[in-house]
Amino acid sequence: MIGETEVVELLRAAVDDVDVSGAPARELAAAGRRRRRRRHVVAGAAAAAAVAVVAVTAPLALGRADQHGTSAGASPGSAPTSAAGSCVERVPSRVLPSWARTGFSDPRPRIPYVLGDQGDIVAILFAQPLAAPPAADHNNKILWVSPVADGSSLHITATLPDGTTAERVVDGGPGPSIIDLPSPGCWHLTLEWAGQTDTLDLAYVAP
Amino acid sequence: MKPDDDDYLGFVAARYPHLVRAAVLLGCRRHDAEDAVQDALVRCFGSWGRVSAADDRDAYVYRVLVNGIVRGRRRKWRGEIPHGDLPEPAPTGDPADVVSTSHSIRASLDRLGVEQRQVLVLRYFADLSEAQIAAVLGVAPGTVKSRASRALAALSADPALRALVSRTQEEDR
Repeated sequence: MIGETEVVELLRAAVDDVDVSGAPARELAAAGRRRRRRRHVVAGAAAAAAVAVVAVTAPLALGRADQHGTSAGASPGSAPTSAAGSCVERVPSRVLPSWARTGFSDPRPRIPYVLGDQGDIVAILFAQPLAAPPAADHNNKILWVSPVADGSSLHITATLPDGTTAERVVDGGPGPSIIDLPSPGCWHLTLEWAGQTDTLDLAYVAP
Repeated sequence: MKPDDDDYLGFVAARYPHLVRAAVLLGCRRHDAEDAVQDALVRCFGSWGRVSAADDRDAYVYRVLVNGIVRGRRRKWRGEIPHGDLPEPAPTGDPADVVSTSHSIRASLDRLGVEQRQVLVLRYFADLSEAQIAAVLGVAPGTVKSRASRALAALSADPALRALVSRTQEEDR
């Protein structure tokens, strides 16, 4: 019979491989404040509706729904671009840099990819468009390739223009991955691996 | 910075890794676990000032986390991770490629019922009391006790887990 002591040890062992680097405490607090402000706005509007006419309430409700719809990518196939305009919903196919061609049978493979701003890593996109939530017919498969690697994990911090962040880790460093992000938008990715840092933007659309 | 904010920041810094691991044990995939924990902590921020005692604070956060994970399952997000059409590195025969112990244990947990798994993780990983677990899950303390008992029995009957425990006990001798 497995007893309580064994269960405690088993559960600890079950997550030995789960590496959690740093808590985004300040970002979470900021997001909590934004959420609290939105709830206060909704509560205030509801109180006003109790004494106001319907014509006042309806435009308020529609305005918030529009904002939510736009930020969630309500029109399929659209993705807001970053301030620098570097987010592209459909990345064109181009010949990969020579250092990124390992594993491809074609000596000059043409495939959609995004090059890091420092030129030290590429995100090769095996399915487009990237979607949040993931599309029913394809996954958000990204192959990360860098000429620099030491087996340590690739840490990704993804940020939307409104400050929303998400953290992802590719175990073993740049390589095959599925990168799902919580919502559509132009995500700015900060990539850290093997002592390197690079950045790039990826557009995720609503499926 | 308000005192409540300092308290929240300290709580998040201290508990975040443990919460993420708890979410994995509750059945989340790795990156879904971080999303679930972050979503729960954002939701908790607005109520932080109302939670008075440390014990209640942990139970409160776990209640929000568990409810969020259940809601997420109902939305049925997909997430297979196929590798067949990605250029994989050549196999090295590295023993690390073998399914790890942690994956094996998580596979055994996957075979438990959701309710048994929740009680197991909250009791033996999150270290909540029966009363706290009852509050988290919205059930009677007696129900918590019986689910824990059934979970232990189910794990004891799992041949893969029994073999793992036996192997560990042999190595410790």
